[in-house]
Amino acid sequence: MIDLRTYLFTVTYIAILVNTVIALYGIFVRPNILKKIIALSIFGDCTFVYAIIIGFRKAEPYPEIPIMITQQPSQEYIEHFVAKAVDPVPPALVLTGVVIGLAVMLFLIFLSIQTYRLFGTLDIRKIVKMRG
Amino acid sequence: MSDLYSLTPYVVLAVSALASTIAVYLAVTEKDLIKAVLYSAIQSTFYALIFYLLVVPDIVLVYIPVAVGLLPAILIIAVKKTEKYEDVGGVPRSTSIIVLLSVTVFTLIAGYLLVVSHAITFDVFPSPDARLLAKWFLATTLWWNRLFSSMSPEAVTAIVWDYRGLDTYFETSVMYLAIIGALAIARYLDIPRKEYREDVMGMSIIGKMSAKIIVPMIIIVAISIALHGHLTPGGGFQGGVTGAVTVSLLIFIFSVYFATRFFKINIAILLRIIGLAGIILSATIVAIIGFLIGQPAYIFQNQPKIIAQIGLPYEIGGNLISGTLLLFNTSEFLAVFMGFAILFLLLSIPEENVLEVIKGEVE
Repeated sequence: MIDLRTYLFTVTYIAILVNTVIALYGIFVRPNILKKIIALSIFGDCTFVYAIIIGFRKAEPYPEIPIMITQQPSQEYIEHFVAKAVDPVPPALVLTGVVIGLAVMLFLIFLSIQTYRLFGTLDIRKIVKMRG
Repeated sequence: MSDLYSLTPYVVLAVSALASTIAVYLAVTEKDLIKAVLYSAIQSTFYALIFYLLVVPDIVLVYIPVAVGLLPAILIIAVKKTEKYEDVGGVPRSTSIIVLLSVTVFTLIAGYLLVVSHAITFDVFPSPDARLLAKWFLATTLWWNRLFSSMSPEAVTAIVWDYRGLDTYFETSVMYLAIIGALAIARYLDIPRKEYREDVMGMSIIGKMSAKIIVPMIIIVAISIALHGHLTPGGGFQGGVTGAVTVSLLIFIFSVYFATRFFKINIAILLRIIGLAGIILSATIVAIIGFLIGQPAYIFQNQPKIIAQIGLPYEIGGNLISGTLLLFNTSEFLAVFMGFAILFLLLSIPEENVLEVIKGEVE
């Protein structure tokens, strides 16, 4: 007997996998550079969701945030916290990943605008054929 | 009834994931690039909901300003400066089918490896247990024994700036290099000196008035998120990107000439350097103190360790400050905020001024 929550969580996981497929397809096939950047940002977001999914856990009734709500925790509270809270390592990795991803994405947008200024087009097939 | 109550978050999770799939499909297949950007913003909204339901409030706070606010705004500026429509004629059908098949195979293999690496079966998919490392971090983040703890109730900020501080240091340097690259591309450009005129520039009076009310509030919320980063969800990164939203609001609703009254590029660069210097200082402050009083200490040390018995105080007058975490969050707030302010100001330079400069440079 499969748990209904497991079923719904698997649906989420497979939907994110489908998103990854569509985003990678967009990166490889669509010719416009800005469209490639949009697809790349979607692909990055899917990767972040995977990382968070690894840290998720099943707890009754629902897992807690990895942040203590008291400043003088007792031993019982710490045991309860460790048994219920989600993994704090993937959020710490994704947190910096999102901000650095934005900075790198903005640098790519700068490069593509400069490409348009110099070549007059953003179609990757035309840019490849040009010289100089 | 209680069954239904515990099931609700999972139902919302699955529904928002399926809705985000529709938004991704529309974003990738749309030919009008402005619409594609808006569809990707809708996808980001659903992803923010997914992050919220996966109980990671830190990521929600950083993801909403980045993926719903800043990235679509920048992409719309870029689309307005370049081509508005995408020409997809001439892509052979066989090519797209081959690419789709290989991408699907790659994703399935990657997804299978992910499940295997989680060391669980589909029978108990969100595993009820956490990894040993996660349990160690959760148990020691605020503990009676200072020698093993970082004395902060916020486990994520503790990992970002204490347990794994060196990782974050080098990731900050990646952001530093990306902004340096953008500055190098725009090295001869400057925002033209022009007076801001209320009646001809920007949006209508309604937008301007509401922006005047909202912008100070956003800045206060950003500072609050950054300074309480060691106590509540948030920190330097989240506060910085939230603050950067104000620059984009000023540019979009008023104009770039109005925004330069508050954010000048050179001053922004100076403040960003101060923020980066603050990060380096916070990383080495315990080592400097140890050097001065002649005791062993590490870089990125926060609380005393067994063989390095010095550290910063974790509370001042009963207020928890968690040693270096407060200093790190303040400096990172300044660095991220000003870094994105620089990028926004550079992107909003009018195109005719840029073309003049580039023409002179090519000839």
